[in-house]
Amino acid sequence: MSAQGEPAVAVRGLRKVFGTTTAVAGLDLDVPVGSFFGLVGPNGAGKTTTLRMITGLLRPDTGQVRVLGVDAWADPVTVRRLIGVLPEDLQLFDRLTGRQLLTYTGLLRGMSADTVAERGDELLGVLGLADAADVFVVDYSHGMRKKVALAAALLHAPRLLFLDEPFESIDPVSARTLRAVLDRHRGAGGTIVCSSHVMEIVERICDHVAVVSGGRLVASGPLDEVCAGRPLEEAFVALVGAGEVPGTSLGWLGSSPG
Amino acid sequence: MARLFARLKLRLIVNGLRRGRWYVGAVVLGALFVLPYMAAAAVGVALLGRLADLATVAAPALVVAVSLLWLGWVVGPVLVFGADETLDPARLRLLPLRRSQLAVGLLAASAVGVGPLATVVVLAGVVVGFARPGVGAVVVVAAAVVEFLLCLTAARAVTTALSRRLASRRGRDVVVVAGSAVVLVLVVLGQAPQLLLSDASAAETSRRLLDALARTATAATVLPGAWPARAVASAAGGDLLAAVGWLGAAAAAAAGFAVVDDRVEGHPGGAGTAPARRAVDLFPAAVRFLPATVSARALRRICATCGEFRSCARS
Repeated sequence: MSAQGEPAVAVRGLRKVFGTTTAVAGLDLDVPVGSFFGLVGPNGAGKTTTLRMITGLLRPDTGQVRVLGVDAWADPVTVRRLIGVLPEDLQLFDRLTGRQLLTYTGLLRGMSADTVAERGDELLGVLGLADAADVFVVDYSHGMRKKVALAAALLHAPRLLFLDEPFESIDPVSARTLRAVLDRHRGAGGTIVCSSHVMEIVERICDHVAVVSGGRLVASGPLDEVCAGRPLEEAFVALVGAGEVPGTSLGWLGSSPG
Repeated sequence: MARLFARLKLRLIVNGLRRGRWYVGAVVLGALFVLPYMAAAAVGVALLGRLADLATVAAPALVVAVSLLWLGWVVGPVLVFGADETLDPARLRLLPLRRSQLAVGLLAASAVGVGPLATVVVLAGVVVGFARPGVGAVVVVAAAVVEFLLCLTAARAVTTALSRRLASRRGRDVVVVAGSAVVLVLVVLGQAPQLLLSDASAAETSRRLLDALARTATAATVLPGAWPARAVASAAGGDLLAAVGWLGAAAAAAAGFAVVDDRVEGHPGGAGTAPARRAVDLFPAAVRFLPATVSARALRRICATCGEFRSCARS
């Protein structure tokens, strides 16, 4: 698959414009093989749009994306076979149970029924969904939907995992479980690309980070290099600029009588 | 792959029955209401083909009935968009499926359900009523099969083309307005026979009704869904050359809808979502200055959507 020394993901000149808004403005990015790569940026920075273009969900206006050595836009089917994706918008078959969702996902991916059953049960158990395995997805909480979608993304043992805001709406216990699962994936040689705007989480779990702002790459590299001895949040604010609230603004807050 | 998609669709239907007693009750009541109508329609079409005069009654009535059936397939999924998860390709976008696999799979999924079953029953009535011994019978059976495929492919093409738009609040608003317009048109059309029957002798009434039927059938022939019915009528009348011509046109239309479905933007089996096209805003400039009332906004949405429809049709 990926040629020797070639990054797991190589993005060149990626650009996407929606109407008059430039969401991604010529982005270059390299994700090293085996890394836990954090894509951070303020709201509206272009993180999700970038991930959607890399994973074949949204066609870029210009630019090239290579995933594990495969041109993502020339051969999207092969790329989808190699990667697992946890998208931000969880569009699932709501009228299937969690177990059925994994079963049909695996079978549609061409996996054998035995393998799907074995892996599906294991994933549901590890992610704390064993008791809800036969409950319809429509009755899941947002956190449970996220976990079952992650299980579906992991089912075919992809070498490269894309996670869009994986820890949003996840309780602390589930977050710990999730981190353990992701650590296991990485320990087995997998690569993880994860977008988030929660700096503490990125700092704790990622070893590489890219900071995106205004659709452009502001900084990228090993976490230590980007942070340069500061906490990630401090480095991030310094890179993208802080949105300070002027001292004279919002003076009326909390002034309601009685 | 087709079998797997069909199994998935069947599973979703069965799971739907587990949504609660009220839902099962609604399905049973719906079935009790619809199935007799479908059976009656099948018997009626069969008797029409066997007993009525082919040129003046049976052929035009068949064309109108089959056209309405096809229109139901095209409009129905749009009006109840979201009710059938297997018809929403967005849910399959992360799977490594080739275009051909998806096309066949989604088509197979559309063939499973109460609607397809009812359609098969009605088309069986067409075969029983209009098939005459000889080569004509083969054409009639083929036309019934092509009509079924035409229903499936047209419904899929329309649903896929509009899936992203219908998923939005704006899209749903347009569907509500369009649905109301369809109901209004049907109510008005329902009054037409009474207008034709008022203060006229029995012979005159009969002449007017047959004339209206023939005109309606002629008008309906612009719809691809009417072409297999034309093939059936031609075959029953012994005009095999015309029958084969209509059949070929219908088969080509079905293939055309399948291609549109495959190439439409955002198809998960394709190269992903195409760059956003700018919708043609047909909203008249003068109306832009109207107060921002709900109705003005609704009109603006409808006009913008018309532009998107055109944009889609050109692609």
